[in-house]
Amino acid sequence: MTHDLVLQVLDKRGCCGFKGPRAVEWLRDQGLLLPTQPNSWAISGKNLEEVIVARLGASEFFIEGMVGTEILERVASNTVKPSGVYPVLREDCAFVISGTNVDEVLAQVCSFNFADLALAANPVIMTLVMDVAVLIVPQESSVGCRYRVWCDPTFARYILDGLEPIVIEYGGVHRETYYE
Amino acid sequence: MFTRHDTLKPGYDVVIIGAGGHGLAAAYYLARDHGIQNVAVLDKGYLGGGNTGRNTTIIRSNYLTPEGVKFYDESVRLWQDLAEDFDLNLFYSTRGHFTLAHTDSAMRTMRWRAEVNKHFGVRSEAVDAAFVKRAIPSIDLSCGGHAPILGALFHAPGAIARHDAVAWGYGRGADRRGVEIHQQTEVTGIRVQAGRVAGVETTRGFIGTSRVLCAVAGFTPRILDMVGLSTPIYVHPLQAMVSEPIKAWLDPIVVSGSLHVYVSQTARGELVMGASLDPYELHSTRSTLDFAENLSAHMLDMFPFLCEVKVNRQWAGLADMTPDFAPIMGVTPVDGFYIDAGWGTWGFKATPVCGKTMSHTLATGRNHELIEGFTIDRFARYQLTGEKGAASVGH
Amino acid sequence: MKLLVCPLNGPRPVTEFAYGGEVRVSPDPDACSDAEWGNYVFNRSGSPGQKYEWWCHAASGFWFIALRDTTTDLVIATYPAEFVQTGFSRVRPQ
Ligand SMILES: Cc1cc2nc3c(=O)[nH]c(=O)nc-3n(C[C@H](O)[C@H](O)[C@H](O)COP(=O)(O)OP(=O)(O)OC[C@H]3O[C@@H](n4cnc5c(N)ncnc54)[C@H](O)[C@@H]3O)c2cc1C
Repeated sequence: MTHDLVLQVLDKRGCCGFKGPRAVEWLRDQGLLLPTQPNSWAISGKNLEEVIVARLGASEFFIEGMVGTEILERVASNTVKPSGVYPVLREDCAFVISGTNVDEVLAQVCSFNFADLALAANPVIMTLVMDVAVLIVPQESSVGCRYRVWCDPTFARYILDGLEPIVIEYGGVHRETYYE
Repeated sequence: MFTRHDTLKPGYDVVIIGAGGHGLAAAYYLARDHGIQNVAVLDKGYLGGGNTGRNTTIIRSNYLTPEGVKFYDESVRLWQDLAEDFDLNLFYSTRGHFTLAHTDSAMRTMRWRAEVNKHFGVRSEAVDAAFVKRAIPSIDLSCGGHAPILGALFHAPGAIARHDAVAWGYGRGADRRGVEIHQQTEVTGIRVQAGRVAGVETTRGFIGTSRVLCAVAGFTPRILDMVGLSTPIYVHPLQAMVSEPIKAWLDPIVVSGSLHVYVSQTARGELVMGASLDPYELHSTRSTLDFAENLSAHMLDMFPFLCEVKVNRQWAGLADMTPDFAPIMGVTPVDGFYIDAGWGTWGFKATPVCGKTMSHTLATGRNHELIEGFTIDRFARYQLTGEKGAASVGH
Repeated sequence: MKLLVCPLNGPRPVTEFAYGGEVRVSPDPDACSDAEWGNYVFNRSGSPGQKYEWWCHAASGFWFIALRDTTTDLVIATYPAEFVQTGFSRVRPQ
């Protein structure tokens, strides 16, 4: 049995959302790299300035990065947005689940078949985990697939408590919060 | 058990569509109490093959509105000597009925229901968790930590009965008094002349009649289309399942709205289990794995020791739902067309009182006073009879 | 497990969706009678058939319209929500 299966909450992450007919144009003007297809993601910036942009539909975006990232602070600030750009309040809790048996773990709590994903297309998956809506961005990493998961923070405890025993059953660990 | 009639007469005093419990009970009381024996009961399938033969047989009267409580209480009273009336064992078994409360607001509804019930002389009490534990020692009061049980509404007269026997008893009683039961006879149209019913078209020919009772549960909208009546009735499947027989351990009937579960144990030892309505409209009685999985998970929240027990069968019926969870009964704007429908997930218990009140209504042409809160025109008057708090899941 | 094809998220188990009922057009509340309004608020077309219905993919909050046969449970086609403005009046049963 492998022991690289890890469930971990990410702390110090900030996020925000935008939608509206002029969201694409405005976010581009802010210097963000936008995915062209709905339900896919792209990365802007490097290292600590790295920001993930997930496109959730024709004109809706979710943006996440380290708290303090210049571009994130700028787009999320309270300045008045141009007409046709509507901020969406997002206070998601972020966590990561990664390792060899990760697809088996998710199969216990979710009806989406992650084993079948084409990762090269940078897909974003909106599905239900234990009946809670989540946003998932799969990323390839040295340990195989690594899923970044966001959910409403009021459900985070419930989801983590539900996932933990399954992760342990598959030989994994629930690690302390860490900063990414 | 029943007389076979190879031919239909050209006409009857009353034609009843649907040989479920409701249609047969109406025929029985028409013949017994009102001297109207020239009655045909038609069914497109077989007697008792609709929701009557698919239901989980919970009988109770702990409803929420005064209209509901009075009506169901009369039904519970009628049930008591029915077996003797029929000379047939209905396996009527008074068990006591717990509606569990997992939240403070649910507890408040239980107290409210208990007060309304007591006001009308119906035995209901709000009880605490310790009382629940004494009556059902094997229950996990914490429900696996997800939904701790705070208390319950306890309704001592809550009972179960053998559903098939109810249909057979009413059917045989009606048959012996001269009512004709025609199975495999589907109504395909209703002839209305100058706003009055003139007869019904069937797969076996036309029958003349001036009075038609529609008692077809999940098929009601199709019959109403034949006479051009609109109602709020919408049809969703309701599923149920039963376990292999195990030694008797559960005496009362247990219902949890929060966990979407209700369960009782039959005399044979099977656990009869149900949950809430399927989530969308469908006119098909297919079963789903989602249902069996969710219901089992919630059963295990309450009774973890059942984890090795097998599910034997699963099935569904078509529930005719209304927005206020009260039925639609009585006379309609079409002269001679009567309705007994909108019984959704909770109409088995009402079989006797529906038969009683509908036979009165058919015989006199005027709504029985007990069904005045349930008439078809209440929606146009914006006067609903809100039973949702007491009727959903609980059945 | 029954699958429904969401126009945005692709095929998903039906448990990920919420059913929003038949697509219906409201009468003008200022011009219609109480009876017409009551008919709109309460009455439904309860018989089986091919119906245009609102569905929501609960995980993404995406609303769309599906044309579904309520006897066979087969989805014949799906449409974006804008269909209510763009095409529905042409196909709507009167
Ligand atoms: C799974 C399930 C669990 C339930 N649990 C409970 C419970 O615990 N307690 C409770 O009180 N109630 C319960 N109910 C509700 C209850 O079963 C029904 O409300 C009640 O049985 C309705 O009886 P009925 O005689 O009106 O209809 P049915 O028994 O459905 O009879 C209608 C008959 O009409 C016939 N018919 C239809 N169309 C035509 C036509 N065109 N021509 C001729 N015949 C036609 C059908 O073949 C059918 O036999 C439950 C229902 C279901 C499905």
